[in-house]
Amino acid sequence: MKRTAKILAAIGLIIILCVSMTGCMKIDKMRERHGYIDEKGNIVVNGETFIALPYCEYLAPEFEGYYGSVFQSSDYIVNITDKDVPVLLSGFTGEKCHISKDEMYLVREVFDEYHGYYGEQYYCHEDIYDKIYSAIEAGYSPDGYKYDYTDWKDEDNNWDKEYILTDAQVNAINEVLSTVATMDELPFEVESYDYKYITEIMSFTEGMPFERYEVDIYKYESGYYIYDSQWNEDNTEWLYDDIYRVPKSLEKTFDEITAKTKEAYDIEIQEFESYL
Amino acid sequence: MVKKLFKHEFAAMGRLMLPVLCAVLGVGILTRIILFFESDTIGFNIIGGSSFLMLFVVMFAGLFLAMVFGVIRYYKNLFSTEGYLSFTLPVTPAQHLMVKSVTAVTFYIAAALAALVSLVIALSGDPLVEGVKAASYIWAHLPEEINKVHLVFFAIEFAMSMFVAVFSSFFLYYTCITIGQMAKKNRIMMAVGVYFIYYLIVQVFSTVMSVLFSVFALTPLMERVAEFIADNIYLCGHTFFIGMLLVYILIVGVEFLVCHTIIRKKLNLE
Amino acid sequence: MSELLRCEKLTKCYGTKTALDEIDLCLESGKIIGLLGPNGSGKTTLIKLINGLLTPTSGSITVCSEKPGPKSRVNVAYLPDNSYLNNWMTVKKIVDYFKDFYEDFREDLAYEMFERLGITPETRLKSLSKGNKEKVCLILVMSRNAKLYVLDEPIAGVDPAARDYVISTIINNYNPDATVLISTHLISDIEQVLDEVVFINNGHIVLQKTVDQIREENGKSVDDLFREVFRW
Repeated sequence: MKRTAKILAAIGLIIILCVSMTGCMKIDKMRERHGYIDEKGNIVVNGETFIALPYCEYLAPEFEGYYGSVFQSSDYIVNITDKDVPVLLSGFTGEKCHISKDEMYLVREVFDEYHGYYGEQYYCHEDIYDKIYSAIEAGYSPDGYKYDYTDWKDEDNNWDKEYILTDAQVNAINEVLSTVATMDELPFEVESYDYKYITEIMSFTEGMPFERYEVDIYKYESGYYIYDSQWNEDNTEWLYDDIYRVPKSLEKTFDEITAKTKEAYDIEIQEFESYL
Repeated sequence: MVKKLFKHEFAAMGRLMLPVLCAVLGVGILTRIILFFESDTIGFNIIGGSSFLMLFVVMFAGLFLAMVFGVIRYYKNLFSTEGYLSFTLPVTPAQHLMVKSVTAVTFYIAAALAALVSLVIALSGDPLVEGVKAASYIWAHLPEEINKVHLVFFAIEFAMSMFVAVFSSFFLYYTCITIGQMAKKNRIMMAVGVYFIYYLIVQVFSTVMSVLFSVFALTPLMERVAEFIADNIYLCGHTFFIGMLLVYILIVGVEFLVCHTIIRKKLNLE
Repeated sequence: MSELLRCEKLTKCYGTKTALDEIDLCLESGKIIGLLGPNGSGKTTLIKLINGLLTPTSGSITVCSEKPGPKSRVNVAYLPDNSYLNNWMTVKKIVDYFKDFYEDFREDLAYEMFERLGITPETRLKSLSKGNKEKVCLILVMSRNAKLYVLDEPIAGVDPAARDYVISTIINNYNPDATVLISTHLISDIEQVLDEVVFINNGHIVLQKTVDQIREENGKSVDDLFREVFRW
């Protein structure tokens, strides 16, 4: 009897010890990605508050694994539910939104009643809200141009690398846009879109989540052309492109600008030809 | 006399089952200790996953062994040479059957409880707390159309049916062994044979009933039956569960009678 | 003297084979009775019927005025011809087992006899030799203060020294008002302790007489008479 009592007491002690070991990484991760909307309409995620930003066409925070849908990468998906929903059920109810890698921004798909479709609503952390809001109110003033390219030589991380244009390169593009006339008649290769590669130029603001599409640089056999897209008033419909022929004098600069895109293009052509 | 029989029966089963129950609880404790060192590495994922797999295996092994030990105990204590002692005690065959079955079912339920406690221990702390919160939330937010009182009664009726079903399982094996012991030789093979014949009969019966039901389902009457069930879901639910309970009680009764009659009139000790 | 066992037209059939054929038997208290017969004569069948391990096909059997069952088993101490022990038990556990179920069990006497054999209460039964296990079974039975002791082949398969031990244990420990029914086919070893003998053959009682009657009437020992009656 004594021995049985001792064994039972030992088991009881171990049970209490085990019960006191709280914590579970998986549940902690779920908590980090579980939020709710408070009475002010802000999103609270794991105690951190995110405030909705006003609409701004050039507001574009970076989200890893997000390509216009919140279901691309589960590491950055946040489940937004009612406040009283337990964390284990957070994945089954409510809605999902995406959080940025630095956990400063959220993007949520909301129904735009005016336009009649789902659009993106951005939120930022309350700590940086005032700064971002003031910048939006002040208006867009980009610091420079850049473009994203694919670096096939980097086997581990080849997507979405950035090339920031130098001042001289920026000036070269602006010079073409301001001094060269748009083309009314296009050469056959341009009419038939027989280009080699495209470089999409974005403007950006240093240290801020602002960027905007500016122009595309098309490389044809005969040279470089800048395409400047024209949109309707609401920016919802593309109308046409204003096309500018880059002068021969600036071709060398444009070779430098588009060097990264050309490198990726050359490697793709080489691989394509090796399959043939 | 019954009390004394219980005392010795529990002692005999306990010496077999207590190590099993301790092992089940032990694996739960071990799993919790392993989870304490949780990390986001492949190594831990393998170890953690393996420990949970081992826990589930041990949980089911505990139930399986409880069933096996209960059946073996019945055979050894009544139909092997130990039967010469058991059946010359001042105890009736009905008391033997009652004590054996109740003890076996008790240890089976103990194994089930040990498995549950082991799982609770393994998930103790955050997982358990969040699990309870999730269950409470689901219960609190059930659609209004669902009557919770009926659900509670369904659960009680189902639990009672399962309790009697465990008795029925043991008594099925007891019946096979009791019929098997009537053979002159190869009694265990005979018991296995009886079990297969029973299984075959159940399968044939189930198949016939399924075919009849399929034919019935094509008739217009089925639609009316379905409508009736949909309009009286709770009544039909209670009827089903209570019916299941009564069927199991009937089965246990029949099996008990068969065992009792054979032991009283056709006992054939080696 | 009171009547302990009465069989009236007791019959037991196994299918088409008749093991006991309408036997009439009456045993009184205070005797040591030998149930003697060759193999397959029906001795074990009769013993199992006395202990309620079989049910009669026809006829009746009463033990201490009760039909064989839980009530009669209170008064009957039975030693089967094979070991019925739970090998995982210790000597103490099996003694407690007997003490729990039989109010007439004499615990002190049992431990005394175990001590003489050098068996301690903590000894596990599975560690005992075959001979010692059979002695343990015998001690447990003879430690009861029963009215009827039924011993099925207690000296078969044991060495001569052990046979003497078995016989002396029976003689020294049974209740003098009780009856001891010993089934055996080894008559010469047991003859000197018997008061009465019952010869059984092919399910029939061939003879039931006291040992003295046999010696006086036939001028032979029981062993010699047995050989004569059951000659091939």
